[in-house]
Amino acid sequence: MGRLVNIRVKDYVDQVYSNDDGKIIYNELKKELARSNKIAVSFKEISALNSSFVNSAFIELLEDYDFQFIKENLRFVDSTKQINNMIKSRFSFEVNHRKAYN
Amino acid sequence: MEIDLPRRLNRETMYVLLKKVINKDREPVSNDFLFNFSTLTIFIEPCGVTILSNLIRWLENKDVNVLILPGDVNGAECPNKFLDDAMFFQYHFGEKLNPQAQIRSTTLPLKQVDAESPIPWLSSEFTPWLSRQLNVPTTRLATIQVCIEEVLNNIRDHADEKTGFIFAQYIPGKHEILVSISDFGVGIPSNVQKELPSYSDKEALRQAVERGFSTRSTPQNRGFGLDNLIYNVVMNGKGSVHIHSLNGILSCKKGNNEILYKSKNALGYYPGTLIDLVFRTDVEEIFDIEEEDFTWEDW
Repeated sequence: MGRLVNIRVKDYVDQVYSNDDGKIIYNELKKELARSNKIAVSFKEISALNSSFVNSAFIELLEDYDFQFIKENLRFVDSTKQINNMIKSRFSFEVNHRKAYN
Repeated sequence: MEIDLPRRLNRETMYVLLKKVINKDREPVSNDFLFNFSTLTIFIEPCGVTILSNLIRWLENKDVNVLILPGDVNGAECPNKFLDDAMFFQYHFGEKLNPQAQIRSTTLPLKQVDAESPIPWLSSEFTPWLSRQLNVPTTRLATIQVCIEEVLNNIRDHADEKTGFIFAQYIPGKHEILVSISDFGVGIPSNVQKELPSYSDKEALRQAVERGFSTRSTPQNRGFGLDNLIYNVVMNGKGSVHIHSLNGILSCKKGNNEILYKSKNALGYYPGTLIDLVFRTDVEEIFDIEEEDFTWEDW
């Protein structure tokens, strides 16, 4: 049985800029999901995210899990409108794109 | 070889200058250049500052001898004084033309940005400068910073040269922030043409900004960076984006409720990528709302 784990992004990376920064978060998320934990990702002290970071940290999870599983096990807290829009628009495009080509 | 600078230096006139200096094999046409700045008499746009900077740095990296003939620095409107105040001469030649030259509050000093790690500079200089100009807290300027990050990530992931010059100017009377970022890398079209070899440079530029198109230069690239940049600047901010790369030009402006893309052949060749951004400061949508709860429910 899993538990709810809080992952504060700033505890793991100094900046949210590159694919490499995103990969660090992705690896943490994978680790917790493999333990059957649900995750609250906190963006405390972060105002905005670029697409490279979001791709590597979150969109890459679609290679491992279906979207329904991600929605059930991942949530985002301490967020901003820009961060929310970026995450949703990236998932929206990727999920629809995959549907169209599957 | 003496090169007269154009009287006006902007995105259009740069091609004449570049053609005088760089041959078709992307090599300098001479081993010695004397750049005559006294012919630059009318104005220089922010992109002119970055183009000249890339050109000089590129020539120096090729061990070409570069000298300058300075122009007039008397009078606030002189382009040479503008360059001097932007620390252009200090940066490239080690001293100002006029020792009294100082950075104008409406411009950032010229900066060569390392695209591998630009965040310290963006967070400590660029965004605070913008915050002071607009009297808006830095937390509400996050989207503008992300736009710059998208450009720099593009350089980082796609250009052979990992640095670019950036220069920014605030024009209060027009409610505009102009940001120019340029590099002398391989150019966006050459990456696209690896996937789509039949595309001309202007077609490749248009393709490069298509959402979801990626050359996958790194496995995580998914073709969203330039699209995100343009969407934020043009649709949210009602500004404009101009990209000049190799023989192509792409202009992005807002239509009624969509982005108008216009691609065309350039009158010359830009050996890399130049991106000019215009942010409107009288448009509320470009400034971030500081907090918002996330939910999957409205999916």
